[in-house]
Amino acid sequence: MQCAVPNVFFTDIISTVEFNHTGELLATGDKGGRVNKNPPQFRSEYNVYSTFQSHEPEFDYLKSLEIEEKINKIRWLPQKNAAQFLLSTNDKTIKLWKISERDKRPEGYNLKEEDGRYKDPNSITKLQVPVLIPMDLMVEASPRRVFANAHTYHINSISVNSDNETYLSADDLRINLWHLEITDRSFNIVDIKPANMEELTEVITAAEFHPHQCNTFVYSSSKGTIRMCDMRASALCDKHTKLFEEPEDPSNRSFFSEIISSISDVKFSHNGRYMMTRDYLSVKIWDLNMESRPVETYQVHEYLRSKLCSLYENDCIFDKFECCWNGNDSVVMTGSYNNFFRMFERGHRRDVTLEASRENSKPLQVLKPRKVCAGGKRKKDEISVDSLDFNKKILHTAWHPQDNIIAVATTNNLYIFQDKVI
Amino acid sequence: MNCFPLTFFFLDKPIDRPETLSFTLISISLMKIHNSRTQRGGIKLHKNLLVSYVLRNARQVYIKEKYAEIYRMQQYEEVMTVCNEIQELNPLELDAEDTEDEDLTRTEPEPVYYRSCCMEAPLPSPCDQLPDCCCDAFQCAQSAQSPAKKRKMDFGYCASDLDDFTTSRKRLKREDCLYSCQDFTDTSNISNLISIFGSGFSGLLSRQADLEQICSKQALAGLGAWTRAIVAF
Repeated sequence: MQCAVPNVFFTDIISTVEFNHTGELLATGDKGGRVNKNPPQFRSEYNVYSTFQSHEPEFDYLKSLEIEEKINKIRWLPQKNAAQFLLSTNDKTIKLWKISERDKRPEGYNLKEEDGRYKDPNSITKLQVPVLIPMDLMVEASPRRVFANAHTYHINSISVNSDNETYLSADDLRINLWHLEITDRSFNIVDIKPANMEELTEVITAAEFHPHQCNTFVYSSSKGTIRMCDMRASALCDKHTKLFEEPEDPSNRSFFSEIISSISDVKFSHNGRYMMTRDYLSVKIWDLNMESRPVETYQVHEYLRSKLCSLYENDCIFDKFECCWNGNDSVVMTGSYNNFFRMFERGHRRDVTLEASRENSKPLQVLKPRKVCAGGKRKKDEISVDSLDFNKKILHTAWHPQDNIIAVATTNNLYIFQDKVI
Repeated sequence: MNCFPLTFFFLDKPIDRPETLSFTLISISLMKIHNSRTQRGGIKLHKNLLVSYVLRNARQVYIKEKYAEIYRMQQYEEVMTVCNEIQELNPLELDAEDTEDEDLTRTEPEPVYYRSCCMEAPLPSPCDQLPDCCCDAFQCAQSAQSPAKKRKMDFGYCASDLDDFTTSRKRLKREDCLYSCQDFTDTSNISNLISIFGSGFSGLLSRQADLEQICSKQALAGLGAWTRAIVAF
């Protein structure tokens, strides 16, 4: 992979990154509730195209709780016409935004002046046809729907169905099904809240619809399990169709076993045959036809296993890393610390660690693979585990749906990299 | 232990024993739960559930280790009582034995006379070689019934040990007096944590029932510091 472009800088912490279905547009959400859109000016260069404030901080007066404006997830809708639509969500509310371009404006109204003031009817002596004249490109984002008041707990996922009519939203304990046109009603399809909250043992951490089967979705839990549900089976999908779970290795048991087994992200492959899960230390690929264990497991940063105490104290152990597939499902990618991100080539069982940093981001510079020294004598160009900067973390990554272009979000910066063959 | 580059200001000894690590984790976990009440966006259910699991695991290890320690102390006390009784029965031989023991102290730590009553073969334990990873420390504490500790066999060493033991018993007693009204078996303190964020502690509650069967009140009273942290909420 080589770096192609200068960084795009953000003033706030990036909280989500998503390519649209064609890869033409890249949306990022941040902690300040803003959504940025970046289209390429030419191949492989993305610049900020438009920014709009998606969510504002709110206050729940009944519970005396502040609702953060941070964007948790963005999901693009498939394009139907000239306008683009995306869903963005914070902890409580999902919004549907229409993003449209305007590069022409009408001129020559009969009843209005150019500045918008109405003309005196008595001064109108002739009739003219307004014409459209070019103007500077203007990108407009307008909220089309607001889906609110359906989640008691914090929303962690949204996923658009392949039917292009419905989508799901998941919080810690429930999953709701919405119709894109209806905002005052949603259907609860999963509810794992126990009757007695003292018996709570797990929460929902991520959910996604199958890319082709509109009746199928999966959700992951904090216990490291993934449940697949079929909406044809019953209205309430509390009973799963399949349960994907790998038995815990007893030799790895520690104080933090429950934390590191919690799944932070789940993603179907584009072909719909596999799904990928990310827990704290590893990425696992599951065949949808085999529930007993994953077909592939990749260790992202196993050297952190001996550092779990420190990572627990500084809260890094609670970081939720995302993962993504490339366009043909042959490579998976996920982030790590020290602004490292990892790619695993499935077929050839190869992996590489790369770094997203300003020093490595000169245009057309080939990224140098990095290596972490887990123990023993450190070789040249290796970095020791104790030297890793745990404040520099890559939680969000995205891969262009067709090309080998990736977007990697560090805390405040968005890096775009592309493969040199393009 | 290379997994602790942190500064534990409330500890004045290296974290090389499972119960010390577990106590530290208990304190850190309670602090996290406390801080979560004031953070922006409300209490995060997922994070606090995970913290509760660490709390439960650390508590289990801590109680087991405390029980093991109390059990060892009790055994030692019983042994010393028997030794003293035997000694009283043979006062004329005591001087000669003392001299002999002093000699042995210089040369051998194990007096022949007291060997049968004082010595107890240390049980083999993986903790003999405590690795530098908290995973191993956790498993150590889980598996060891009585982790190998250096046994002081002769009377001279026994006396110094008795002092240490007395000191630790005094500490336990002091905490017991301070928190005598805080019955650790009372689930109200645990329920306070539950009410903080409405999450579950079923693991804690069920485990507590099991542990009550094997833990003496003495062991539980020794957890006064932790009880105090809970009450602080």
